[in-house]
Amino acid sequence: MDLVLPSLMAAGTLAAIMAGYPVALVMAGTSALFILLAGLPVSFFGLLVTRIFSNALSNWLLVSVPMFIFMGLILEKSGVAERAMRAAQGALGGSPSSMAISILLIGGLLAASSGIVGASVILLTLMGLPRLVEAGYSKSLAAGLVGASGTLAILIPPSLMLIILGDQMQASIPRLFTGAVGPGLLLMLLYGGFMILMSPRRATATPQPPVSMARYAGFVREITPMMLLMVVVLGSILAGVATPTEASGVGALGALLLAAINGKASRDLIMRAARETATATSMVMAIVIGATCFAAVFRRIGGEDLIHSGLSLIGGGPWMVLFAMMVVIFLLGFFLDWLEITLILIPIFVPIVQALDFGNGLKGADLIVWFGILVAVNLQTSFLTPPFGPSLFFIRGTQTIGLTTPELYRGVAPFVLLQALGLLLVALFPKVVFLFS
Amino acid sequence: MQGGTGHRWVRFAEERIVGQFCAVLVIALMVLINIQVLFGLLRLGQVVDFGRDLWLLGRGITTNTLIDLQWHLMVLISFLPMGLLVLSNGHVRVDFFYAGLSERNRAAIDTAGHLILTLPFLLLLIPASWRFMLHAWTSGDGSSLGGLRDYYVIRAVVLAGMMLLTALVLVDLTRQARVLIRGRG
Repeated sequence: MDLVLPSLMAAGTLAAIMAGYPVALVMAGTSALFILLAGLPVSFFGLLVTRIFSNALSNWLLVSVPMFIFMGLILEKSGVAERAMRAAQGALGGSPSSMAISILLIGGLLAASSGIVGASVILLTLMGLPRLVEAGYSKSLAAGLVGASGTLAILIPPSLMLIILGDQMQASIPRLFTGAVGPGLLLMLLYGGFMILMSPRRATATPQPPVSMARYAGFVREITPMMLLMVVVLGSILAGVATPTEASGVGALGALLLAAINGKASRDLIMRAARETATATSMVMAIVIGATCFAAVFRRIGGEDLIHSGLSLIGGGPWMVLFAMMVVIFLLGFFLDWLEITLILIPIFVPIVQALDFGNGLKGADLIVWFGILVAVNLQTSFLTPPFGPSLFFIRGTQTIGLTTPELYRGVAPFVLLQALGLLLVALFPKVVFLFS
Repeated sequence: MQGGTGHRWVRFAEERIVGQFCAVLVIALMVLINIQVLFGLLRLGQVVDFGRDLWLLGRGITTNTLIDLQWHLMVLISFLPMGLLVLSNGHVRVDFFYAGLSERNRAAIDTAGHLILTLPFLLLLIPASWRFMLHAWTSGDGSSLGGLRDYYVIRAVVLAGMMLLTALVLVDLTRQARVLIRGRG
């Protein structure tokens, strides 16, 4: 099989993306170009249209995308999330490490109640970053924690990434959601432990107010609404009562109700959130459509053979293959979004993994869930890796502490390593994935 | 704001009309899902029986009608803002190098991309979408499970969406060409 065309397609696509032309349009355009270059029949365009329809447009699961985005935007814009965060700082504040833990916990709560990395990171940057630096942490370390905690949103369910991964892997979404809980908690433990280890020795000049029962009560009062929303949305998916789409719609309505109770559900705010939702959805769907076309053409002209021969070059047993896949995903994560990587590579990787025996007793659906979670943890790091990690952009764009880019990169480095450690632990101990199932 | 008055007008129309319209669609989508969940809780399969065949909706409103309506709305929400995103520079780019380029070089990249990638894709896909729509029309394709009856409608929407996108890419091309010639917008 000729490997020239698929190599050319991969290289050309990467080059056009690096040149700065919009990613979705690059992928769609190269697919059309290579249909012509490879001399495929014109009827292949008909196949593309069918694929766009069946994989992207009429895919009911993807209806949950705008709803989860809308829910997150409403929680952010209405100040519901912000109030929870203030209350947490009031209740847990005091020593530097408890400040760090409170930020980590709020990151986890935001992740479990909406799952939009941008909203989470921005909120934590605005409200948490200055406090961490005041408490005595270095700017780098503080920024690293804020980035890593905010990025949990993409891993901890409800997560758009797990929904699209599940769709591509034909795996059960509730099982992936349950599977991500253990690794998410593991990562939080690793981050938390690291921050305690690195906490500044000397107490800071600013005296912290004593923690009182009243503050705890305030904390509980402020986070209860979001916890409730989380339990309803996540609980109904995990219990199998509702599909992700149904839960997302109910969650969006719930977020609106919380905003209304907060007295913030003005017509203007709702319309603004809805408009932003439509724009974000369109961006995501443009990439889904582009990647669907790209994947169809890439596989048709021998892209699969290219990847297979690449993997067989490395040789070795199943673990080596898995390691190679993880390295490829990690490296691509420096340049591409999780979305493109998922849509293009996962359909090719899954059949390969399915045929492997890792000697850990996992097979069939369990094996795929485990692999899916490994991919998810791996892709999560792509949010933090310079130069294109989206979380880095959000931090840089919203920070108010005079953080420089090198400081930011230095700060996220240990967290990327911690995530690699988390990935290794999940790979070696699949129990973490099946802890809650 | 760069570009001539023509471009400005198109962008204004897109932002005002498409933006507001899509916002309403997002809210409608949320309402539809919640109605569907409510029907599910009440264990209602068919909710409304028209007693006769209506265009698009068929004989009645069932859970599947609501589910079909949801992804129909999703198609609109996905397609309508795409052209606006081209005009407002909103599509996701890897702008590591791009951001540091001069305005003219950026326009050169966008012009080349529009001409080599996006327009060929759209122009080759539009005839295929037309045939895809026609097929649904002639075969009367629709839900066999009591959902929406006429799938050609949504396929026509996709076709129209691609045509709109093509038109807006052309509008953007004129703006890029102007920057290329003058050196700045």
